[in-house]
Amino acid sequence: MFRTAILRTARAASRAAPRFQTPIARPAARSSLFQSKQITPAISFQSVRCYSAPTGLSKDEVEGRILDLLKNFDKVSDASKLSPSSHFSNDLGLDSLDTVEVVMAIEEEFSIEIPDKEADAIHSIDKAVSYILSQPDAH
Amino acid sequence: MASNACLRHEVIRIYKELLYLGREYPLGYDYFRPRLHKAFASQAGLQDEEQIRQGIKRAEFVKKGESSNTLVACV
Repeated sequence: MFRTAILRTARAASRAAPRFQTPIARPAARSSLFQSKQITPAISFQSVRCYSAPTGLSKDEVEGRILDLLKNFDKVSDASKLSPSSHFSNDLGLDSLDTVEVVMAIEEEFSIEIPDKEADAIHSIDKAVSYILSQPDAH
Repeated sequence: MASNACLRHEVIRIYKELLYLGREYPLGYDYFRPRLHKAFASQAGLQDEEQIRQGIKRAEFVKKGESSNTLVACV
């Protein structure tokens, strides 16, 4: 925008130059520059966006989403045993392969990738919650 | 012990890969998943390292068949 304004004034000035004497050409160029200064701020302010704000996942929200996900998981034998502190294999009756599937579902839910080592350590809902809360790029 | 943990991760990795591939299984993911689970669970008792490696090789073989869209009975 600013560049086109400069080009326009330059063109106007060069067009004006041969016709008039320099003292007259100058005010014309100055006035158009003044105009462009008035216009540009409104446009440049629009492009300012803040990405620095945290995503703001609260503990309750993460917990609720993981519980919902497990509720829909058909291998969970007893949905009444679902609580924020339940253990995958001891309380919910899931084997290690099911745990892998749960971790995969959690990865998809929060659009992150959990490395093998960390995934191995997730045995219970509260561990999964604390892992998600420790990840800044979880959604 | 270290190699055991390593093998464990390898098995989990191939299990995940097969699960991802299973989403495009012709008979549906709901058909595929319990079968894959059963196939892996039936080998859960393997203790011998060599046998586990054999199992992983078989899983790799199934994966290749799966990804080239050939119907391979996975059980």
